[in-house]
Amino acid sequence: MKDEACKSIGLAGTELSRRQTLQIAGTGAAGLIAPGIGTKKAKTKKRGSTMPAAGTLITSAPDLIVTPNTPDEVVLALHRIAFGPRPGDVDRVRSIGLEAYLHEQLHPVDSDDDECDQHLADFTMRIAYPATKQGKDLMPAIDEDRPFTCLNQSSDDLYKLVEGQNRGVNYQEVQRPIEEVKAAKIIRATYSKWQLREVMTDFWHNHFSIDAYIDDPINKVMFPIYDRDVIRKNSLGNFREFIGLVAKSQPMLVYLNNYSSKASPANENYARELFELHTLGAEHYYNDLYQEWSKVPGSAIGKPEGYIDQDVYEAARAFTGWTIANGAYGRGERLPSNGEFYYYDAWHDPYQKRVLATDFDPYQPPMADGERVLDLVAFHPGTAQFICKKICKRLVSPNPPESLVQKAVHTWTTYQKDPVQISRVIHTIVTSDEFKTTYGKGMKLPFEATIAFFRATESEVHPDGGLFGMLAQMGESMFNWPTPNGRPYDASFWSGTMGMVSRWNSMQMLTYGRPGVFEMRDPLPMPVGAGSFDEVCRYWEDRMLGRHLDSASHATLVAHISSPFPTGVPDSGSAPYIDRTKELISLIAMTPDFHIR
Amino acid sequence: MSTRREFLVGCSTAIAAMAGARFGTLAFADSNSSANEEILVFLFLRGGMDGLNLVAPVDDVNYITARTPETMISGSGATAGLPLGNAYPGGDFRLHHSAGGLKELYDNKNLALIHASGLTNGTRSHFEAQDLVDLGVADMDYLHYNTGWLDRLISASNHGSGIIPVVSVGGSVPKSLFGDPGAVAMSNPATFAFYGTADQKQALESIYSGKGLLPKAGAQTIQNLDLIQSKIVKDKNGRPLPYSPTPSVNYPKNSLGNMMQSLAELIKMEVGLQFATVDFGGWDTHQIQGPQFNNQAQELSDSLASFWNDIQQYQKKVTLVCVSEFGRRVKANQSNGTDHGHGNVMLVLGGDVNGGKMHGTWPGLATQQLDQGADLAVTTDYRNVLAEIAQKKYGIANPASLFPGLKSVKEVGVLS
Repeated sequence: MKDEACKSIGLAGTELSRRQTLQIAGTGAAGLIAPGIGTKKAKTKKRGSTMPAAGTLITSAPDLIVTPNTPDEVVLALHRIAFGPRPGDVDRVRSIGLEAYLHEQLHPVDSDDDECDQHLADFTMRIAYPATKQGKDLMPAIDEDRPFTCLNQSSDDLYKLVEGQNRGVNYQEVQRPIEEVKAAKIIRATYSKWQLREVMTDFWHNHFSIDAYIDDPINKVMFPIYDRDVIRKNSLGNFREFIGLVAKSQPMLVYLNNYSSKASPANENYARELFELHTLGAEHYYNDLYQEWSKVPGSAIGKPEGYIDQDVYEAARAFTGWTIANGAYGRGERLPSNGEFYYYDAWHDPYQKRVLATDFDPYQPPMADGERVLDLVAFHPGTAQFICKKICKRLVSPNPPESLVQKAVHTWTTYQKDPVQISRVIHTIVTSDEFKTTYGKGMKLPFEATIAFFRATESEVHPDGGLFGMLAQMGESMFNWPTPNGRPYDASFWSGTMGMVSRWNSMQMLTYGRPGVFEMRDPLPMPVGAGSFDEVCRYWEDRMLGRHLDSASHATLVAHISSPFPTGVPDSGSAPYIDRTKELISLIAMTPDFHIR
Repeated sequence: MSTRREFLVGCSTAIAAMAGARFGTLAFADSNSSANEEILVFLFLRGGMDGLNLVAPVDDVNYITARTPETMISGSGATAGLPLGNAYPGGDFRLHHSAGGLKELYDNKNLALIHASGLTNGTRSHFEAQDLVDLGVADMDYLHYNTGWLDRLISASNHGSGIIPVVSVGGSVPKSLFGDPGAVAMSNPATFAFYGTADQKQALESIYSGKGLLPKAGAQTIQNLDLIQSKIVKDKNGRPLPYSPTPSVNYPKNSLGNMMQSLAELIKMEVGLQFATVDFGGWDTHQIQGPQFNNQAQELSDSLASFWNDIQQYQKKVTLVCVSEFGRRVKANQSNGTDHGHGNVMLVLGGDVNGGKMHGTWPGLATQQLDQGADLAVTTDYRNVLAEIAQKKYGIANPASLFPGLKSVKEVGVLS
């Protein structure tokens, strides 16, 4: 029984690297070999029964629910490349075709997003703090409903908050830029016409994950720039260009400490995560096998298959001096203080380096070492593999078919210098056959499920701290993931007891609303001419899932909502009708079906 | 309508409780189990705790040379380290100055230290190293298997087969437990509640009765909700009463303090808690290590001391083992921080612990004594400590079998 349960439950870390794929290929044979030293290839031999105590090798993502009614590709797409359908979306996309919808989504037009723009323009969020005395000055108390002010500011303007902090500006003002990005993210995800861009913005924020709340004011105040000019702007663009901007962005320089890295010893934090999390991935970290760069397969011809600690050390040296003009003390002088990226040559380690079997000459021009490292990792085949698979995990399944990953890798590599490389990869994935046959493996993350609820019910949403708190309760405190790996896409992480109960409670809360924050439209939209609870139920299943529930769950829902009214549906629009409908909506939102994609 | 009000009240409480909380984890079992049941707590310090800033030989010239004042324990002055008795020979080993709680536990012989311990695998990736430790393995080939070391201990010892066998204090279950379908994640018993109506819960029970990962997770959640809620002390309006620790115990108001308090509450609820996991992150101190490490060490120290003093009647059966995925580089970097290293210090706290003593072998800090010339060498495979607990507390005759790839176990002597 334990074993059975293990088979169905265990899946955290389901990803199979190339290494594991090779291992599985070898598990059929009978011989045993002790784990230990050897080359990657030697380690692929015949492992299977050597390790019964370790449980079962995880080879595939489990079904989240069994035999769901697989919806058509349009419904699938609206749950994957959008944050769920709004009423009318399914019909519209069916009429123009998925290909045309995808084309539209891959070419967002900023000037054409009226509903979202209106919500952004109308938005206010309270900020309140008491007067504080700072030296002789009294900073006034504030209590106001403030519109977005930081969202579109330049880094010059935002940097004034950092300098202001030294003059007694309240910490809430310093944190306000993050709060605005959070609110704007919810508004855009709910209302923007350009859903795919929002999905990918969320994806890349998670890929280049930053805890915006770490205790450094530059990280906080520059967060709108990171969101706007680094992540959103490049979410469908070119990866090499993208990582170049990330490397020079203030939040990443602060979060992974490169801004304080100087010779010598350098700070390795950014360099390590650049390899492990941003580009090649841990599946290409060969340190357990190789301690000398020349032993890494492919090194002899200058194309090592993976990286080791020595590459991390050397890359860390290459990025020394990449810092922020934050007025810090440099070598006998102070750095400028304007909050921009700054290359400070006095901190740079100028000598020769060797990264990924490539020699760098000493004394290169400013920033040339770092840019060269970025070229090497951006164009490495391991990066194509790691990133394409990760995009597939988000858009398709936590354990995507290898055939699909390879198609994506082919597009990625073919277009690696194309300005819309990422867009082309997404096109390959969404138009693939595999896209249509992989329903029900991925679990929506709490943010996605929440936005899907808003969209399906056409809720009015004015985000505030309470809504951010609700997301945190579900495990997704926005821009606050504590480690640089970002949130996992594996369902096992999100479906623990605490994860389930907090989701159910949140779906309740979303249904019943919070005045002024999120509410379903009043009057509640009603199906026209619904004469029975059965029809009412089908209407909401269609609307919230884009398909019908299995018959047993459907029957349970009908029985539940109709029990106080055995003789029939109360008058549409009456209080009892609304009460029953809300009960129904919250229950549909609590079904497993609402949380899969 | 009253249910809605209750629901809203519950929600705001839950939100307040979540503010600032991070996902961490805990384990518990049959409420009918005998009073002698052991309780094992696996506390994971995620991020690579700098063991050389928590416990170190402050008079070692290699240490003094390699470290900056911000990244080291000092031997004198206002922030001098706290001297430790029964240390490794030849060094003035001290605890970080803000770890007074740990010092007290050590002096009272409840806390044992095993320095220069850790993974024999030299990975410097947080995420690989954490997975290896959670899975109880040292070889990358075992990294994608689906049982954690605690899962294997639970099934081998026939423990944890009760009503709620295993709990993670926090929002999700770590990989040490991820093959256990009975593992319950909860940040706090009082907020582990469904705010809908009984009717709704009944409907959910029926909807979550099918096969697949989510129906199973949902069914398990409903079952555990009922059990926990039935054990929580409530006022006459049915609202959970706040937990009162033993008088004189003041948990620190921070993430680990809250989790250790929830853990003590669960132990005292006598729901048969047997296996608990707790995650405490924030140790990745690549720069400006001084203030951050100080806060972390204090949080760790105060929380463990409060927990220990709060569970007086249960001390005899509790064993808490505290690990991190790796230690940090001996030589500090130019950011006044330390990078990923290797050997580290493990902490074991418990009623049967051979405490007030440093176990294992100190390898020294001279360059030629270091691993790859850079890191504290590992002289004790961390699994030897876990294996000893498995053997002495859970009667596992061949504890090496819990750790795939481990050929034999070498007793550390950490338990009496």
